[in-house]
Amino acid sequence: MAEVIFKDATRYFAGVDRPAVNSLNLDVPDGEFLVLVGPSGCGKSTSLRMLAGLEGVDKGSIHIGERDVTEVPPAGRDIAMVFQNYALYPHMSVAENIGFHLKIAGMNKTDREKKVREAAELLDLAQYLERKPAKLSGGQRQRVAMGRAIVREPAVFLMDEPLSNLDAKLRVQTRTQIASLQRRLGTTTIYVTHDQVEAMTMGDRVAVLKEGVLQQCDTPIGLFARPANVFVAGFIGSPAMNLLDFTADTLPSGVGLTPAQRSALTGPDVVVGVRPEAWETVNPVDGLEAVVEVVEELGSDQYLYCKVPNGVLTVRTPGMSPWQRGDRIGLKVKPDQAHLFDTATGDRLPD
Amino acid sequence: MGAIAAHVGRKRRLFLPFLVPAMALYVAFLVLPTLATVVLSFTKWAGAGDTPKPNGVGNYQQLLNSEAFQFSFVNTLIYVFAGGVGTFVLAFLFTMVLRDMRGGKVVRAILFFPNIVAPVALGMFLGFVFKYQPHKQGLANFILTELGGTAQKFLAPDNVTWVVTASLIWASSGFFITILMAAVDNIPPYLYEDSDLAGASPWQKFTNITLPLTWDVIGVAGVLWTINALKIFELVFVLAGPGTYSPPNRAWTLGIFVFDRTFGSNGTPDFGAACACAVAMIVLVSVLVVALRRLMRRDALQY
Amino acid sequence: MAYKPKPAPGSRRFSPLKFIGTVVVWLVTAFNLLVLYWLIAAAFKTPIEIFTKPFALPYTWFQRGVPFRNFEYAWNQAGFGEAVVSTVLLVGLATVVTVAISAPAAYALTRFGVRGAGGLTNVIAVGMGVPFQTVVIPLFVVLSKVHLDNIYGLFIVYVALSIPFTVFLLTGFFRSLPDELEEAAAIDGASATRTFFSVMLPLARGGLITALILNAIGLWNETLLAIVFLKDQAEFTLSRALFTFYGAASYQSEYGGLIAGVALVVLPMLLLYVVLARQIITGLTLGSGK
Repeated sequence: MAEVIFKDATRYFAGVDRPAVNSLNLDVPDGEFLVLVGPSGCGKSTSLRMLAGLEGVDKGSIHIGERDVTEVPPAGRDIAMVFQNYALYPHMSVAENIGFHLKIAGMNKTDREKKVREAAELLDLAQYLERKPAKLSGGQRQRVAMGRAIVREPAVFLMDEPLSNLDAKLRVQTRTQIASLQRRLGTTTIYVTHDQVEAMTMGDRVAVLKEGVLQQCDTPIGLFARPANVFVAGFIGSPAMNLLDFTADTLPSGVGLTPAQRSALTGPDVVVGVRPEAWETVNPVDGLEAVVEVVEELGSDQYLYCKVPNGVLTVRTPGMSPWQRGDRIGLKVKPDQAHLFDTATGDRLPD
Repeated sequence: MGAIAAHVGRKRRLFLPFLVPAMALYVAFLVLPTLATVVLSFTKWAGAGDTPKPNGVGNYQQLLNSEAFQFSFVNTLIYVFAGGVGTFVLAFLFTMVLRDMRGGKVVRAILFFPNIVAPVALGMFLGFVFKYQPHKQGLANFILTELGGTAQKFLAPDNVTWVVTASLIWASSGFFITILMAAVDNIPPYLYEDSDLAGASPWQKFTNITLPLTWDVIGVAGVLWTINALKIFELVFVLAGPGTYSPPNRAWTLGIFVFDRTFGSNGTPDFGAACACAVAMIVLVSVLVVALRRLMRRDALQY
Repeated sequence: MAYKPKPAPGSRRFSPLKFIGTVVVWLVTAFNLLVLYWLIAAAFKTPIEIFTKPFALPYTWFQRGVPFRNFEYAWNQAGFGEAVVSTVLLVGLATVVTVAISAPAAYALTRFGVRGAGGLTNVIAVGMGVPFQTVVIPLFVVLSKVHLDNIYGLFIVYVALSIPFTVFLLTGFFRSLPDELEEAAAIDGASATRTFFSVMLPLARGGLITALILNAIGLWNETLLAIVFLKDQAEFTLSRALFTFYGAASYQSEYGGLIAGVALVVLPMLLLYVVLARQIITGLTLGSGK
């Protein structure tokens, strides 16, 4: 059990000027499930590998518990990692795979077998212990990789996109299994994914990265309700938030700037972010005039893709609504549902 | 699907025309001569001008009693086993280092280079390196005496087998490093990363990952080694002898024995004995390859 | 900013095994380079220089204005002039003919779906394990009877004995090609022969080139069969000529000329290797890795 701290942790790759991870500062309290999320190349996996000790730390430091582990080899960090491809040894049985780290650590055979058996029962793998990984399904392999991490009883779990090789249905199922397992074990967990739904549903807190820079680290609700900048606003939430360009003087009806916001602006332009569910449909004359281009019926919800003079907006309406392609509608932002950002800096304007 | 089915049918009609030229040459120049050699090994035949006469197992009895054959047999086994162990140990040691070494590709190319040199040229070149002649010492003795040692007769019949073994290990390791490294490069890097997390030492990584995951390629490489080491001829012929006629018996290999009995540079030709020795070679290679395959057998590995 | 990233913390841990390995790798690499240097330098030296100053740069022949004296000696005394022509023609033709015969066979064995093809492939592969010594007497006896104990006979023998390895190598390449292209060609109405020449051969080009190179190196260096079959010095190949030259030159203590002769045999292959190392090494690993 331990907290994890990144202090100005920076990582360069050979021949690239821009750091892959740029002065990352993160403080993960003991027992938290933290998700690192971002598009590919944002530095999330590199951050995880720095914490694992598989990558060096060029500047700054990394701490696990009381210890500065920046220069500690991976094996000495009291961590366990689940790889994207599970990294199962194809020539070893499930039992040998789960017990491999214990064997290397020099644990005697009877203790090892006991631990492997416990982990296998926890993960519903007991009947497969003698099988080779090639004879297992994707979900079972994933659980073997989990088992190998669990038997180490580490202070921190590291997971690098552990669900990305599963099909969609299994992914949803395994997602909840991992989250509940982590809550039961209470072990600090750092989890990397590119999938914002995974991040939002699993994490106690979510850290969003872009181009090696931490954008925001907050609870899922915090991220969703108060995105710190345009990038986070567009990245979190599905379908994505509508981002509209306006000048401070020509804002649409129902949206206004407080004096504090106005004084925080660095230029004349404002980005107004509106989530699909934050629109109200009204008469064309009463709101932003739009033409319905595509109607996506999901049963419980309906998404309208509406053409407006400067782009296409996504609007969520209740399922089975009577909208048709070609309908003219008016759109109005629900009260207090607009997110305002400075166009020049991309930062959120103060509330 | 009709087009494809018809296509497969038409293709099959080409099977024989495509295969026959290669098969015909193979049978005429490898299968039949091998059978002829087996038959001739049971005859007494001096060579050109003589006619083969049935001789039962006479040639084989003669072989077993021949000191030259005993030397040849033992030396060949030394090359196969001592050379093989040395080459593979060296190759494994190198794979451990080369896996994550910068500039590894260049190093691999340099290590491979002795393999493109003609064995005859390599033998002559090594002859210079190991030359013993006061005031005209070869490279090895030059360095040895510069360092304050005494010059050694590396190429004397008693030493030459071991000098050739060492040379063989040096020259062949590049080839086997190349083959093994290709297999090692196919091992997913995350397995080594996981073993880093476990705290595995290089030796543990080797025994737990590299060795089991390259096992099949090692088997193929072992067969290639056995085949090549068993027919070693030029290198020993040039290094151990004066170059134009056979070296002393003490340094012979089975390949030299066949050559010598065929061309009789040490007396008259004896085709019968040469054929018997050739049969011994093919029996030995079969036994070793089958034994190696059996030793290396295990379930096919799936990722 | 050119920044050199720090290695991962575990990788700097000292391991005796890795330390020994690294030392040996560098020693052997350095030794190979030294050997190459020594060979090339010695080819320009007098015997006295070769033995007393093995690491120095050559100077005597340069001072006398005849830097290529050793090469001239070897060229003239060993008959390398004719040997180069014979070798290039022999090796070039034998290599091309070998691949021309082996490629259709490898194609038929891998892609026709004929039952027993796998077993037949193994039968041919076994031929790689037959030492040349085993077949040399019957071949020599028969070929001298039909007066082919000369460069023409050697040509046929080279082609025939290169077939097992070449077929084995090429079956690996053909097996790795996807089925779809062949099926697409069939749907387009191409005949099987046409599919082979215009679809499969171009796809297997990497394999064919590798087979050409590996056979060329092997035959260029081949000596045993050349000794057996070539009696007339006018037909000698380079390695065969070198073999004869060796005895004469060491008898006369013409060590400089001898090394120049060795260099003449080695350097063309070295050049080929420097240009094609990547191709050779990838081809080799494809052929033997499967």
